[in-house]
Amino acid sequence: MASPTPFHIYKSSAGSGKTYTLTTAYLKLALENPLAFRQILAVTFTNKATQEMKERIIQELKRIKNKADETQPMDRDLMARWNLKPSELSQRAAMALTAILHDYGSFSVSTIDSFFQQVIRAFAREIDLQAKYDVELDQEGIMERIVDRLLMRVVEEPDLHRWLVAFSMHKIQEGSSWDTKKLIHELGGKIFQEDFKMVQKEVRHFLDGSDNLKKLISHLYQQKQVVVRQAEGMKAEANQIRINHGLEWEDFHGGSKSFVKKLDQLGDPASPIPELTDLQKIKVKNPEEWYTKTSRKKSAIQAAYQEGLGELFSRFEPLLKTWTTLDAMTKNLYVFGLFGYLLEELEALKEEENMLLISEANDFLRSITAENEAPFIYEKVGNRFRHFLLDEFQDTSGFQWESFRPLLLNSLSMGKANLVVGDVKQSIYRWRGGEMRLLMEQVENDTGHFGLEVKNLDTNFRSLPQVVFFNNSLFSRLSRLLAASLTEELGSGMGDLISTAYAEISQKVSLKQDSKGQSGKVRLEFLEPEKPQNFSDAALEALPAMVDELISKGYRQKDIAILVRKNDQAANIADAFMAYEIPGQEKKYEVISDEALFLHKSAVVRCLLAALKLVSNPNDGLSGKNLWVQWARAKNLLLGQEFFLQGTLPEPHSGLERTFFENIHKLKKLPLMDLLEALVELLGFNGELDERAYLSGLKEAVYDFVGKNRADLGSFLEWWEQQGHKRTVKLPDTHDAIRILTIHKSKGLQFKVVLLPFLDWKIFDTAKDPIVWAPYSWDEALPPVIMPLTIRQNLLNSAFAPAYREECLLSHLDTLNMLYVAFTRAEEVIWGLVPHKESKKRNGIGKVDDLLFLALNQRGTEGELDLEAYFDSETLTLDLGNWPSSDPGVKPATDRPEIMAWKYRPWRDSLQVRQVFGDFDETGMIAKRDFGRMVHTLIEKASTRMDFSLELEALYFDGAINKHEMVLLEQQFATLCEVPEFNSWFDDRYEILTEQGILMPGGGSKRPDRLVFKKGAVEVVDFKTGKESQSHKEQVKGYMELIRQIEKGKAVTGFLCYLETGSIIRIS
Amino acid sequence: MDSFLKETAQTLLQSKGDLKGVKVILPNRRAGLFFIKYLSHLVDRPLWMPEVITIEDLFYQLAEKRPADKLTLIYELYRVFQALTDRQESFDRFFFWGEMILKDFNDLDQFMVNPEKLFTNLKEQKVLESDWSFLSPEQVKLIREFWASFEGRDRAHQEKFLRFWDMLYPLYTGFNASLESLGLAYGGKIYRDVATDLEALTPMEEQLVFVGFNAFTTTEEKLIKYLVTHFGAKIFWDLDTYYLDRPEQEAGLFFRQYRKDPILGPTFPEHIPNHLQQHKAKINTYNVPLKINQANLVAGLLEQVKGDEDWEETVVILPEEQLLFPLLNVLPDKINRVNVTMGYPVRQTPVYTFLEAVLELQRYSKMEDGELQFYHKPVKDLLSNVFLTEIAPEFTQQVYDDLLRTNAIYFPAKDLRKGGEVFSLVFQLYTAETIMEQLLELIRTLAAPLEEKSMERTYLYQCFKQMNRLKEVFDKEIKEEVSVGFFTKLFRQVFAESRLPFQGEPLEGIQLMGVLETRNLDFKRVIICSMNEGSFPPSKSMDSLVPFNLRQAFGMPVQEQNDAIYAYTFYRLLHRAEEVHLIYSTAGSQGQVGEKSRYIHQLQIEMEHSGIQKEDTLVHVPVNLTKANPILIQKSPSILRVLQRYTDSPGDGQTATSFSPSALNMYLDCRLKFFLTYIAAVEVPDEVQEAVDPAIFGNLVHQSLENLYTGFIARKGRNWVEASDIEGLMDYISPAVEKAIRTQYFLDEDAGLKLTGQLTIARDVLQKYLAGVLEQDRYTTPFEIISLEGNKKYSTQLPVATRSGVRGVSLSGIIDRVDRVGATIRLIDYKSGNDKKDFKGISSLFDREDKSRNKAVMQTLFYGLLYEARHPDNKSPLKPALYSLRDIFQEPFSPYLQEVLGPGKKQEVHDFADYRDDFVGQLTQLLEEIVNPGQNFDQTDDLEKCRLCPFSEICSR
Ligand code: SF4
Repeated sequence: MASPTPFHIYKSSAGSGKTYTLTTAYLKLALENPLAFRQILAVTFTNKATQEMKERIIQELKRIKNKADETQPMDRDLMARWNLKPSELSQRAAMALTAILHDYGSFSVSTIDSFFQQVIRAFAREIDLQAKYDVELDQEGIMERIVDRLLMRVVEEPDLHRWLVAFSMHKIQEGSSWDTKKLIHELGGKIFQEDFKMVQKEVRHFLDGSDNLKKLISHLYQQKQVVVRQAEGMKAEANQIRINHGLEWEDFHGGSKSFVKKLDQLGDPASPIPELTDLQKIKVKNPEEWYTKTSRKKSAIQAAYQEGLGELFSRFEPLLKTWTTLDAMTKNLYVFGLFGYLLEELEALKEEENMLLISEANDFLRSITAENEAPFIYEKVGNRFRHFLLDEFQDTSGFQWESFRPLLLNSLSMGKANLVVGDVKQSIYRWRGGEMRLLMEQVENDTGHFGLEVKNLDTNFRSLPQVVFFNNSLFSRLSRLLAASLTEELGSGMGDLISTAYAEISQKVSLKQDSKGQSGKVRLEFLEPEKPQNFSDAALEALPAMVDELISKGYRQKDIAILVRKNDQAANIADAFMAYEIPGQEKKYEVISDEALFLHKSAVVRCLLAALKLVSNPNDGLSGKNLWVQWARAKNLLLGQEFFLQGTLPEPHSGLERTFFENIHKLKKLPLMDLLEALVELLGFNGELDERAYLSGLKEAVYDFVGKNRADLGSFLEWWEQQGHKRTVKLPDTHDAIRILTIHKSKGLQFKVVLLPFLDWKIFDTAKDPIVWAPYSWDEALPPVIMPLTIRQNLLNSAFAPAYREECLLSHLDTLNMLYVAFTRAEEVIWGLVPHKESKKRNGIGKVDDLLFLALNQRGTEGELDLEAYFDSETLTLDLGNWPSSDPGVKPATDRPEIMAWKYRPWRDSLQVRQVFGDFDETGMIAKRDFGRMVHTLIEKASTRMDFSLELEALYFDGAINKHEMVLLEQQFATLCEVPEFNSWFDDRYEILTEQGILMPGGGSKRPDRLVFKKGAVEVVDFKTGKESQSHKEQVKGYMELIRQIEKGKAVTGFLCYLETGSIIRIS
Repeated sequence: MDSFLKETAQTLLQSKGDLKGVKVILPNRRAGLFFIKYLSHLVDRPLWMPEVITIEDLFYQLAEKRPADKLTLIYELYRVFQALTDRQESFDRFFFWGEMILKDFNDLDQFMVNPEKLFTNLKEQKVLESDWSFLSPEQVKLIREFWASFEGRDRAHQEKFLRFWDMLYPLYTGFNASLESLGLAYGGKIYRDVATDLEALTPMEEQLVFVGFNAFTTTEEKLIKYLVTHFGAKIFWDLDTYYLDRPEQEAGLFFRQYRKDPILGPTFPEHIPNHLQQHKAKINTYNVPLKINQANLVAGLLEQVKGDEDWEETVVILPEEQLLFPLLNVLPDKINRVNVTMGYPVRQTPVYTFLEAVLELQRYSKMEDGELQFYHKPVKDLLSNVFLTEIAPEFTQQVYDDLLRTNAIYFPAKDLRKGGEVFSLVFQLYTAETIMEQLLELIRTLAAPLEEKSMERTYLYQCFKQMNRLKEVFDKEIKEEVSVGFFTKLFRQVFAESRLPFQGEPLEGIQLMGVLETRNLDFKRVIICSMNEGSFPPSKSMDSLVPFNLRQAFGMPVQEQNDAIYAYTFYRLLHRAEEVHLIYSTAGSQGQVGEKSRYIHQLQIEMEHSGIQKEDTLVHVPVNLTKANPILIQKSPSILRVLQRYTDSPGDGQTATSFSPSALNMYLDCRLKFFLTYIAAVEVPDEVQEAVDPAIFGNLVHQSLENLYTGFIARKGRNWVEASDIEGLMDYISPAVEKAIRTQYFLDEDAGLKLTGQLTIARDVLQKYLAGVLEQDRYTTPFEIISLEGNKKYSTQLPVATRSGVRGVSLSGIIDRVDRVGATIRLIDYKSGNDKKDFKGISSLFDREDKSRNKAVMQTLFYGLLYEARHPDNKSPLKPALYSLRDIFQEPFSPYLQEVLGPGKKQEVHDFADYRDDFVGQLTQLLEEIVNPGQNFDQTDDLEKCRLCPFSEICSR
């Protein structure tokens, strides 16, 4: 059933039931018929979200299957759609659920990346990939290797060499290190990003033109010279005028600090045009400001002004603009010049190692969807999607959209339903290519002709009333403030984007939250640290006490989330809690964090790594010390000199050390996993241990490493050096502990209590060196060169002002969105810490705290909460609402660590690797002794002469023997066959049984080598190597006895055949 | 309850009495072992054992043929492929495509697809001709749909696809023809040949019994049906009504088809068991955060098992075989017998990693001036590998040290080969033609001294065998040049799958198995790990060149069949189990999240009986962290004794020493760092560095300038420099720098100077710096050089109050250059970094809290003290100066120190004497603190200091 408007766009503010909406939409499609789900692709942003979405769908289906409930809006919706009775809906759900569970692979909820990769795999041959390739995620590591390769080429390539030396000199002159590797690495990393890829063709084209770069440099150099010359000229002119009027620079208003003196600073080669402050810009135009009222030289100054000094200042601005433009061009020029090399090396590396970079998936897919019609793509992939549900659309990148669009349009053109969900206000992944303008306008432009319905989800189901009201008011204020400030700073119209994005900020409180009778609590404290830079310390100190208070209000640790912006902040918080003693308690707070619980914080882990290093290099004295220092730490011992001075290591350390060195040789021979286990045992970490989670984390790291890499110690240590510091302890979400996470990771999650300890960041932080690619025209004959520019404030006054404005604007939006995401995670309580400054010290809106301060101290408009009324200027605290009466809720599922066992027992104690048959002698051939055994095995298996050859061949194919040995074996067999008796055992006229087992009552079995059935008689043959012996005879006699019992009435003869000598003994 | 195999054995025995001439065909060998075991428990007198084989064996027996190995086959395929296309592809690149094609050919033969029809290009053809009537309308629809997608614009990808597609039929026929002529075959072909010509089978006297099969390929199905109808073969099915009767249950997919079949249908038993529902096994599920902790959980579960149970009744199934060792290492003591079916992965053995490191070495070799060189990283890896250290411990250590000392980025092979035979074999050039012979030789040599039957020898032999095989194939079949790189890939691939069997009585003790080996076996207690999507069932791996719709239309297996097979494997395990534990982990690999297996969902949602746990048990490992105790060193008598060495009475038997400015600066930075460096003398290991780190660059700066002026003095026989000398000095810059580099890296005069990329850049920068210094010196001429660093170490003593009264504490230092300009003596320090010349008064130089404490100023002022001590009569002003790399290129240049008096107010330091008293006062205080027994050596609070400190590990910073 095609709906009239197949395409829906849901704008979903925080807490507006997005998952619910998506799930309902999914079910509306999936319940159409039991197999409908196969044609739906739901795309989520992260792997984790994928899991959650799947679980949610299954859960709802399960619920409806048991009982469709008319009071549930979802069920009502679904019933209405097909006009069903509850029981009928249940039935549909049951069928769909069954279908999904039994064709789970077609249950397509996935991230954009994994879907893309599926398509790419199907087109590998068409897009010239190799048949087998690995998807590489570690782009940092790749860049590292590319730069290394680039530097290796320096020796051979004079051009490259010269370029890099010039680069170094340039850096030295700028006052930086001559070592430019880091810079190349940093800026070079842009090759993986979409904004570079967008201009890649032009850039390559420019760099491939052999002289372009040289020409550009000399152009820049010349132009800069021109500016410097002009500035020098102006300076001379200024001084001439001054002297003409008998003036010194100190005579002007301001004396030695006079702004007029800037004229004398013109022409400095590093910055030929001095900058004027806004105030100075006004002053230079007004001659009154040039002298003090009492100045005796008033008239001389006026005259000088008239004669040209005033006019000279008017030349500042255009000249400075030119200069800034040129300077910005120069800044990244050197790395830019290397992009061609970097791309070359990247190509080579990829080819050598068969890899596909994760960042390339988008490019490839774009080419595939551009190159092919949707049906062909589906045919190749083997899965045809008719419906797309795209979540978190505001974070979709331009390339991703371009790739998807053809598929989506294909679906829309068939009138199939599709859905996009997103919220511009929650777009915080711009740095990863997220392009919120897609949601804002482009998607509508691109697909509008199929008809579409935009719906704003405006009810907040997540938060208690006061929290909702607070956020409504706060964000309408914040967006107004920012829009106004942008308009002021960047020009009219520049605030519009923010205004539009936040136009519909006001949310309704949901019935459910309203009916709880709770208000919710918001508290923002402005801290007044002694020094402003100590704000983080103050906040860190305040945090544990805040948690104490929350716990006393009845919250559990797992209800609390602490949101931060950066990973290191998370780590600091974790440390603070680790060090904190809860008043009157033995236990400490526990924290869960993917960003903070680094493995290397554990003494046990450090100790083991030191041990591994020492195994790798027993002469490593540093690790030799470190091993015991960490060991002592793990055992909570005090650390004094005895751990460092020669020969003073106390017991039990020194005893352990002896054992360690005595065993080092054995240790060295162990496979990596075993080595680690052995060290854990040797160092006594298998007993009761506090840091078990960390130890397990280390083992898991080795486990993962061994699975993918060469499993030796050296490689592991190198890997750990590069990657190990990123590994953290992983805990299930259900664990009762405080969560610490970044705002980025918190997107899509919600918590009862949200703590925001560091509300102090810079809104537009140019110190992070944002890079944009901007065109610059410099040669009529050439298309403009597209350069990577580092955004700095001074670009506002350059040819690159538009790029600056754009970046500035988007950074403001980023910050506002970050705040929005952070503040809207809370169900019941928001508690934030903001640095306090006296209001007169706040000039403009530079940081988040300025913004918050202004917002709280400003009158709101109609319908907003009067925030300032809740702000107590004594305590510097905004306090709103009441503490919710705590509801301990469901007890968290019980963790059961006690079912685990930790005792170590080397596997070699219980198990041995079996001897492989055969061994080599010095010449590389099968040793003589084994040769006989080999003949034996062959004969054992082969019933006829023909069989023998087959078996021999099999052995050869197995790699056990080479061609030569094959011939030798064949010959030996032929020699044996010369004996008629022997030959008759391989004669296919008889019934011959080889390896014919005899079942023995009670569970045993016997296996004579060979049975030959000749008329009315059975011959049993056993082949032997080595010396003749009585026991062999007994064995054959035993066989004969058994055979007589089975084959009653037949004559049974026995033979022993010694293979080396060929002697045959008949046994009767 | 009896197991399926036991029941079957019983039935068979009852119906036959005598088992001679009975051929039992089972899905795998392991099932065969169990089958025999059950049989032997059932007999009461000796009996002939039936023949027990796999279905593969049966086909090969009937065909009297075995498939050739994969490498040979792919090469053959490659040859035919090359002849068919004009776009030449190298064997390297083709190999993995070839693997895929071969797999497709295997499939299409196994499923008896008509290749000509399959590979037809129907793009232009709208109607299917009448000879396509063997297809059903649904099949035709699928085929049409596929080819219809070619409509519309013609695009490059489609053309590429078609070009390839059009070649596949000729490739198939050509390949088969060529194999035929060589007398070779691949598996699918053998199957197909048998199934196509069933009439040709010689009548069989044996009683054939098929036991425990689930899914047949078309060829298998044909053969078995034939055997049933013509030779009375029997079939025993291992199934359960639970999935058989529920059409949605994929586990029953094949059985439902077979039951409807006129020939197979009658072989189904009348009464089909309903174990799964009746039996109510207790099924528990667990969620574990880390993969590795699954092993601990299993051990815990086993620990709870009562002592008197037969371990044979317990199986632990490891869909991810990598979990085997973590599990084996925690098995409870009471388990004394373990039986593992999976084998030891050769790629984890030290031998293998050694060989791989040898190959890795080859990737980074180069010839320079006819000499073979190896890249330092793999060389280092190898030198610390036990296979080499064991043979020549001293040699390896010495070469290792050499490598570090000379900072060799590339190291000559000839020096490495001196270690003996094995070294010669390792450090030689491996070429495409000889690589295998070389590796074999290496393996033999390594094995020679090893004890017979030792584990390593076993590993080595396994490698040897595999390599030998590879070599044979290459020698015999493959004439193509393959690159060493490709060989390495192949080597990795071969060994990735290679396993060493474990010893053990297969039927005794606790059973550890991979998923597929569980076929037909029943256990009372079943523990399955890695119940994650992607592990069980494993992730999709239907790599095929035949698009999905066509596969389906032509009856080749698609994911559906795969799913059915795995689902059956899973549910079958529950048939007769009494206690089941399913464990999954929420940690995935590569940052992915582990997803719980569909089977758990299925059980929890669909199977209605009391034994099933509906909510997973969460198992977690508590996260506690011991607080990092601080390090605090009290000045014990022995430490005080060490400190005594710095005084005028160093103590008996101790050599005197002195404080250098850098030691003092270090003490100010961090007392502990000073202690570790100077008192405990902890050695920091070297690293070969491709980058030139700031310390080394600094050394090069000092050294080059010293070389430059020492050379000058030697050449001219005078130590004053005039303006006219400068030009001449410029010519000596380059050799001065080169010499410095040699000295730094301990290179002989005549050793060729091979620089890394970074170092060549550093060298050029240095040269420019030297030129800059000379330029500045030109302005200063004439000046007289009084001393250069190498030839004079200055020292002095300061009286300091210690516990035992006032003592002279020794100070010393090396001044880069002392010269005289006019009446002024200049004390010059060259700085390669970015050192500033400003300082906020003497006390700031000793203020450890001051983040911008100027160490360079403190150092040069310190020189003033030293100079004074040596020249007590000196009356000239002593002027410290810093020549920093950055400033040299700045205009205007001034090397002199500036004391900052206030905002914008600076004062140049003209004479050390003006600062002397203040400086000495502060310094004395500092020295007093150092020797003061009450002052501990502790860690700094400023973490910034720790960032580049070599002891940050020790401090856990
Ligand atoms: S790591 Fe920090 S505290 Fe430790 S010695 Fe180094 S500087 Fe001192």
